[in-house]
Amino acid sequence: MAGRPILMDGLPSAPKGDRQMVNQASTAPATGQKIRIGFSGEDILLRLCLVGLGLFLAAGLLLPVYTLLSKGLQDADGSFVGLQNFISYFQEPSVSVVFWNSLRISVLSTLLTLVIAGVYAFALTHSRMPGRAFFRAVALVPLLTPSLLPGIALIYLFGNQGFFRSALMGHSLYGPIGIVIGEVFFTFPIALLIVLTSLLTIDRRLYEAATALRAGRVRIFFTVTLPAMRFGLGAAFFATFTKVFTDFGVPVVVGGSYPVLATDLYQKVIGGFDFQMGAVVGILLFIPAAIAFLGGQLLQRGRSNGIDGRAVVYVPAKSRMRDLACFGFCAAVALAILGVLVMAVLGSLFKLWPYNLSLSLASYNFAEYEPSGWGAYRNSLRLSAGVAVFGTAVIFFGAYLLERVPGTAWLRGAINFCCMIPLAMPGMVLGLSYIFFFNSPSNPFGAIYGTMAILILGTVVHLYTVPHLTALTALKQLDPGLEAVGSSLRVSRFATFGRVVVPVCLPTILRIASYLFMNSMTTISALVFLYSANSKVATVSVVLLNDNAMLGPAAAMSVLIVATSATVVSLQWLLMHGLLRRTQAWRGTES
Amino acid sequence: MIQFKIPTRMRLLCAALVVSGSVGSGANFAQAEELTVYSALAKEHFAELIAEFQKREPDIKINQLLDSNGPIIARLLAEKENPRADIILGASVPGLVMLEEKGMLMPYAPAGLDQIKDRFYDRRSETPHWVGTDAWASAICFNKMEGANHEVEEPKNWKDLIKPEYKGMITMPNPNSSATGLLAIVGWMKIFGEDEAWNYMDALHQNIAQYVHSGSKPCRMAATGEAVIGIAYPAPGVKAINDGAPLSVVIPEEGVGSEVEGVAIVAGAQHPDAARKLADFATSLEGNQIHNKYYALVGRKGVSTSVPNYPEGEEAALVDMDFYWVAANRDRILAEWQKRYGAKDEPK
Repeated sequence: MAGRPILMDGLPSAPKGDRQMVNQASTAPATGQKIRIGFSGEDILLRLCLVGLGLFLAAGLLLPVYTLLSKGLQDADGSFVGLQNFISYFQEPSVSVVFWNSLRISVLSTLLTLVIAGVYAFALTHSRMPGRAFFRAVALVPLLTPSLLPGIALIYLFGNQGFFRSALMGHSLYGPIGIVIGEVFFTFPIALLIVLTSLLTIDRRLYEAATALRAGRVRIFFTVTLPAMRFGLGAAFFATFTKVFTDFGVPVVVGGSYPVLATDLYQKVIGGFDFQMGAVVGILLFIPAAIAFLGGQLLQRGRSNGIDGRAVVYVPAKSRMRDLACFGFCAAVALAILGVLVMAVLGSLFKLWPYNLSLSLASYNFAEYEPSGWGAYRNSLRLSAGVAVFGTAVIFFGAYLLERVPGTAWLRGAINFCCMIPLAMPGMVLGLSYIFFFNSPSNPFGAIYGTMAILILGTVVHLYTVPHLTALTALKQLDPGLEAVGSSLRVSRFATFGRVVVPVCLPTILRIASYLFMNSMTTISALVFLYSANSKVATVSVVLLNDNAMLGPAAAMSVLIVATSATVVSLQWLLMHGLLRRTQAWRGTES
Repeated sequence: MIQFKIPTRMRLLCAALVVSGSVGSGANFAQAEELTVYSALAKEHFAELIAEFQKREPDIKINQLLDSNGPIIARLLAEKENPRADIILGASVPGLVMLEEKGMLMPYAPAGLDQIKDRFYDRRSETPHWVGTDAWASAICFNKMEGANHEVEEPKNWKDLIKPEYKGMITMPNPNSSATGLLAIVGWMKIFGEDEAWNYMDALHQNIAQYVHSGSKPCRMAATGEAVIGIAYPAPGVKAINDGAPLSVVIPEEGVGSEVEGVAIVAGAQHPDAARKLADFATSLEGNQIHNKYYALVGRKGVSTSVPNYPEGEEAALVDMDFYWVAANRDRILAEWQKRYGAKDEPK
């Protein structure tokens, strides 16, 4: 599965001393005037590239966000009013209730997700139940879906005409109940992967020691397993919270009249033309996400000390009862996940739900329901391909510049920091800030407004962090002497990059490209403010279809998105296996 | 020597990094005969109108943006400093009045203006800023099958909707995001008077299951039984009936508020000549005959044929609306609405 687990693993450390050493090692030997001149010319160019990367992030991230922030501190006429907008926001209870709704929903969904993901991860790692590989694969299915899909499936399942509406005991799906169920489905794999990583790193010797000390099973769980999960659960809490708090797809479908910040923002800007309040709500959406992000970072810092290189992987002992209980739990969760998916597929096939349930492909005739028809799906493919190609090039080369090229320390630090911001930046806030920034007549890049290019730029920036970290991790694994060898052979750094680094990292590059493609297919938040008639994408089309209560076609378009991401992931997997055999032969005996 | 060759390649890459943003922007720069149309008309309606227009003006290339009224107006406002659209089709008149008051519309009197009904064009200005093409009114959609399941009668008028037996069965569009929602409210204000209308909405609020984002959603929700009653407008209900949904469309006895949709040219349009040609066509007899296929009420005098399955008595039930009053009071009404009903938790 594409790079999301890296969320935990590959946070960049501060520039290390050894890089300095490499730098000196490659420049210090006095092998002649000729090379030194050649190198320094190249050096300048590399630094320029680094500056270029900085400018890219400035134009694609910092300046738009700055524009948004300054809007939030102005009144409608553009004069500076400080925090006045926020004060009046919180002074009006009927307005600020939205903020508290968001907070409440996010905490509740996050806790539920953590409990389910925690038990599920425990079952996967600490039991010998059959079908563990299958359960692990099923758990990742929600990563392939746009967050709109669970909402749509829930309407078929628990809506006022849903097949299992009695399960809600008279309560309405629309509102907190629907949002929480949908968000748990959507964020489950993210939390699971993080908790799983923390469980897999538990040292078996700890269990052996505990058993030798005659600790009971329960006691071992509370003294060994749970403490080891602590960091994982903490990190999963922050990641899940951010995801739920900023998600637009679930509440827009099943939120009913229960407003949360994301839907409120959409309504303010798209429905109410109120850009001023839009900026204020956007900033409110950003702040808790940023706090959660910082919390996650701090937690990360604490964790990295505790890992022991000699740890031994835990292998659970036999236990019928435990395995049976674990199997039962995982089967129920897997059934729920697959149930949602199957319901969406069925929903897309019903002729006239709920009155005529005979199956037909009529819902896939999108032109009947939405002006863009199949064009929206084609646009999604164009967007995803564009993001995969352009994004992979920028992100991987950018990570190379940051990781393996000597340069000004402060610039590198600043750029590295910028690369982390998108993880905390809600897509909707980014999209809104692009409206303010790129549509200003004084902006020289204004011409991209309303084109596919702005969607690609926005999506690359929105998805930047995770592939960036993936790339950094892969580059860190390369021998630091590569460039030194290259330069002693009088080969330019670019040649080393092209002929050694890229081929060696090809599996990582492929993973980044596939991650970008898949997430561009399913993302909605940044795009909902940026699309135009000619660049409407599939997820936007789902939102509009749902806005018009055309549930069948909305389900059909979502199913199409899932099918496409699944295809891409499978292709990547197949390619990867072929590639690994061909390009990773050099690892040979090492691993 | 390699050292010279490869840096060139890298320089290109770096350049690409910096200017990457501008890739693909070429299409946005106009050639001589291009026209960018923002339209809130239904897709088929728009397609038929434009196809007919292009038969007359084959050299004009149309760039189109189709969306609901709200997003169209929002986008125009967002682009105020730097307008992209040349002409707006099918936007609601209160929205157009709002744009006009911000100086965003270019006045233009289309060729056959004397043939347009009085209440269908901007009479406040010497040269109208907008001319109406069609009109529509509020209506109630009722799911007969779900009504029978819940043992409730079909409502006959607005006051019926506040009866306690309809509790939790009604959806209506949120006026903050939907022109249809706002229309229903200003219609009640016209019919009942403003104070009485707020009392009415307080009572209605007790029966509302959901305030939804879009104006066509309530009737479609009623069509699929997600709700029993939808407060909206006839067109999506009529379509659902034709698709086989057990629905009826009711024109309430007290009368209905109506909204005119019109055509307007954007101030600062890059192609004003082409825009005028389209404005002429949209208000012409042929144009109005096309509008009449989708709307019972159109702007031109003497054009009226009935739309199949359209509820009867709509024109007689229309109450006289004051668009300028709506435009001037919109913000106040919405703020009050938000205060009273915006924070509603999901009812049981």
